[in-house]
Amino acid sequence: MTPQVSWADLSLMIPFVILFLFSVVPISGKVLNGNTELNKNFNFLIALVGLFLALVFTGFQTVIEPRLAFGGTVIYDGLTWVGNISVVGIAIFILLLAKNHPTIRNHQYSEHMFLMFSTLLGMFVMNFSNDLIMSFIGIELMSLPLYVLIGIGGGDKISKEASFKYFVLGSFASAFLLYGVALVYGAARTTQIDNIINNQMVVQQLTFQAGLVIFLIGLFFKVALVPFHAWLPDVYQGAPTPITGFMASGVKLVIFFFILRIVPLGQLYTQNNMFKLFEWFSILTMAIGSLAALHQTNLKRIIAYSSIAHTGYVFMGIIAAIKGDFQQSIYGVVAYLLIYVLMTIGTFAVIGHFEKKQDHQLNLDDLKGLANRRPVLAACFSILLLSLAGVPPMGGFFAKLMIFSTAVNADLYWLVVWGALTSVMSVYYYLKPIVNMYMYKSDIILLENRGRAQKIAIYVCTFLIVISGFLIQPLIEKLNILLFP
Amino acid sequence: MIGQHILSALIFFPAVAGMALFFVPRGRVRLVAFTLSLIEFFLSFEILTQFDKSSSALQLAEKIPWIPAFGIEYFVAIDGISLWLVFLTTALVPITILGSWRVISNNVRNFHVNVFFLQFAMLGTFLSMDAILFYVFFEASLIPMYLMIGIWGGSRRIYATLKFFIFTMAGSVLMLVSIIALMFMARDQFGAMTSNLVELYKLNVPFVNSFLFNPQNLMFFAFSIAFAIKVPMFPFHTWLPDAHVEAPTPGSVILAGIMLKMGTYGFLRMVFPLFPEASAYWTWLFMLLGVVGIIYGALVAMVQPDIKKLVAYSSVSHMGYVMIGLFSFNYYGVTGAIYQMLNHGVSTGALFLLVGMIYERTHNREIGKYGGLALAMPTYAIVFLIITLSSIAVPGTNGFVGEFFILMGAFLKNRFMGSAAVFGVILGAVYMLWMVKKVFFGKPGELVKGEEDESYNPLLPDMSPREFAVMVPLLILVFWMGLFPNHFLSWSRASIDNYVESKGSYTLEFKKQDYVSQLRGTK
Repeated sequence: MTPQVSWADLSLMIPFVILFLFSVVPISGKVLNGNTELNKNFNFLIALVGLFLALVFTGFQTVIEPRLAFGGTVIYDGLTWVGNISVVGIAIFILLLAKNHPTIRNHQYSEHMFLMFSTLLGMFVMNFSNDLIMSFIGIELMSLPLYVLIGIGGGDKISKEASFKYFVLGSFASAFLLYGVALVYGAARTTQIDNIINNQMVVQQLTFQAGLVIFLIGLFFKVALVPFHAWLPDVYQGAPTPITGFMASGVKLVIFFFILRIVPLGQLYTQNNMFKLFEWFSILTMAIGSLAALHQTNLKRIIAYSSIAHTGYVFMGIIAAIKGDFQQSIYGVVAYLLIYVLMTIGTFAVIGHFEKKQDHQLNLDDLKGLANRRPVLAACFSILLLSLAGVPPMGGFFAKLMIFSTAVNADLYWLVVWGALTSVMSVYYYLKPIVNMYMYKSDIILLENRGRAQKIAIYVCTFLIVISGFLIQPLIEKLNILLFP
Repeated sequence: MIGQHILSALIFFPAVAGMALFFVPRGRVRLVAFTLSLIEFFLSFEILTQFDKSSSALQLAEKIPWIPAFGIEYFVAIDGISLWLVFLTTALVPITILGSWRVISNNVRNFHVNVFFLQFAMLGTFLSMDAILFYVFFEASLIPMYLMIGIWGGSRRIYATLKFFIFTMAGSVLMLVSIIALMFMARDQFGAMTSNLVELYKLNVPFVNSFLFNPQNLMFFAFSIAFAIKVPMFPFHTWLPDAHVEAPTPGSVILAGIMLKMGTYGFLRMVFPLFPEASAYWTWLFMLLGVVGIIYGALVAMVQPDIKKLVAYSSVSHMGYVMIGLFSFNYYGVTGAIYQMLNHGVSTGALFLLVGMIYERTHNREIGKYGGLALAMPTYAIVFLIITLSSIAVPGTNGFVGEFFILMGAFLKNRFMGSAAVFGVILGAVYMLWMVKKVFFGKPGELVKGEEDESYNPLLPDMSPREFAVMVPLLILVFWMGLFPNHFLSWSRASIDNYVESKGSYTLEFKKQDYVSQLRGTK
């Protein structure tokens, strides 16, 4: 069977082409300029224009109804659209975060741009994929540049270690993914998701079920679900802070969107013991994310563990989607992820803004007395942290309200109660930075000025978090139109 | 315009005022804040002109859909139960601001912003009639209080403030889960999700008498623990003494005067109407804990060397009265409990202000180091004594009316509990009068003594006119509420009658007729 490719299919690829073309401009310029960087601001501007164009083109390609393209390997539906818009938005934020950041070295700025855009392309592929092989390509296209991006910056050992660790373990996860795909193909004779879903005969086969589980393990590794989380704190700590922000927001978002896409496959498991296992994964993730951070002093590590805890909450929504009302759950998961993305980017923006020049780290003690010297940023940081903790009236509370509702709707009461209790435990470490900023005095001067770009990102994120109580309803209405036409 | 949206105006004015303070010149912050809080206080009188005291309905209601997908609304209304708590909130804040004129010397602007946001959250809690809206305000009030204790507090402030925040939050997250469960229960029973309390009251929450883990019991405890921590009821009271001792004077005044009432108000507004069977079933437990709290709080207060800690433990004891009043479920008990909430706000708030005044002078609160203070500060001693008498419920003061009603209600409900609670009255007199004796009478203590014989510490001048002005409204209230309780209770009577007779069957009255037609179907 030869896939039929139409002009309409190709038109879907316009954002890809735009992003690719703009990603090669800075690096080609460097080559033509005798291996010296072009003006940094020029490169920044090129990247920004590329991202905005991609955003505009994606925005115009509205989804009337879901359709398949490229012989069924690519799907274009509401989830793809939301995912694409989100990742381009994330990339714009990350671009702002990386501006003037010491870990992004000036003589490699164009390489940085190119790798970041490649990661973005990988995320696009993930959003589009309706095929397990396609998703594998997406994950690899997303991960390979990230391995380099983690190690490229700084110059200290910790980032090289992080890069190497992520590379080795990531390859391991890729092997799992491929093995899973192979088993699924062996049973179903296809890797196309909608074909598998429709084939009720296949889903009973043990080979298929084993394949799916192994495939899922690969995905769980990427979103750092406990017990596949061990790499995350080290990698998040070692990576340059803007890249950490990119991983915590973008990578998680697209992989969870993809998991949502294959949720109908997971519904086979509702009768199985496998389902109980998923519940335990979620419980453990919430617990470890909340408990392990209690004694950390490095801020990036704290937020890394918090990101594990949040993975647990999102996964609770995924379980609800498998078990209960898919439509209700998808609102919960998508809304949670979008609000979470804003909170994380904002938090990493603050960390990146204040981290020390020498070792690119920020410890709790460094924050002491910050509120007196940088009152506005301290207030923004507090709002973001309280939001991560899920204290109303911040956005994090509404995200939690949504995800808890979806779980209650699926009768997952124990998960919800556990989630509520772990969120209280985590409050302790979210409050610690606030305590240090507001309630201690210190003579250490932490006044590095890193320009306006990061501040813009912080202010925008904080503003959106504060008003997100009013954004929930429009968001649900928009999702309603997009996802269930 | 304001006339129709008086409740929203009342809730949001402090938030706007808090924002406005950022644009006030540094030297004027206190004065502007005080003026704004007075405006808010006078604004609250607009309620009295519109409030119909013969009606038991929820009045002046305002209702706007917020998140219709979940049935969450912005829904505020007032009735006789919340009326005086709103007044307490708007009245105590100007008094607090005036009382903190000297105490707060650093970060003055942020302090007043905090106070206003706290007032915003507290008024929202007392006025909202939507469960999620209530929860948002209830939790949001933690943040300014957390900052207030943490930034302007004493030496162990960070421990105290973290404990305060985490204790309170730990209680309320399970309440959130229960609210969500109730919303889905409403979907199953009425066909649409809603968090509107008036609708939720009509829910039939399954209750199985002999089975401990039935839905109503579980939800009842989830709500009750959230509010019991806030009250605080024995054995959940341990955060309170820490928080009070470390909090700055204004923080203590607001915490004891208003925030604790959010807990008891929660019992009234949410727990009893939502879970009538479970509340009736577990009355014995809460009565018992209330009585234990009264006696325990009094006994522990007796041995405190620190004045502020003594007052803090007396709060535990006093809030125990409110709890047994509420759980006696009869007219006397509930009336007494509501009255006692106001009394406690007035007299304990006043006590914390008074303690703050001598702490400002000597930076010491140890009872043993005082003595003979009455000669050094005669006016202060008189005021202190009057407030003490109000706190131990001497007839003629406000405390008497509340405690009398509560004991009567408790006695009607359960003779044993009623009798046991009476012991608390005696113990209350013991620890308060002991403290007064040790601090004000007898030989001058080491802090009160001056350099030479027959002289007093020059750091202990008598009350300044400002300090006296802070106390005057409270003193007036002590006698006014004590001698003419009907001036206050007549406004609440219809609501309490209705509340006791038919729990939770509320009618709604919007101010304007067209509102009703707009929102038909909500009764």
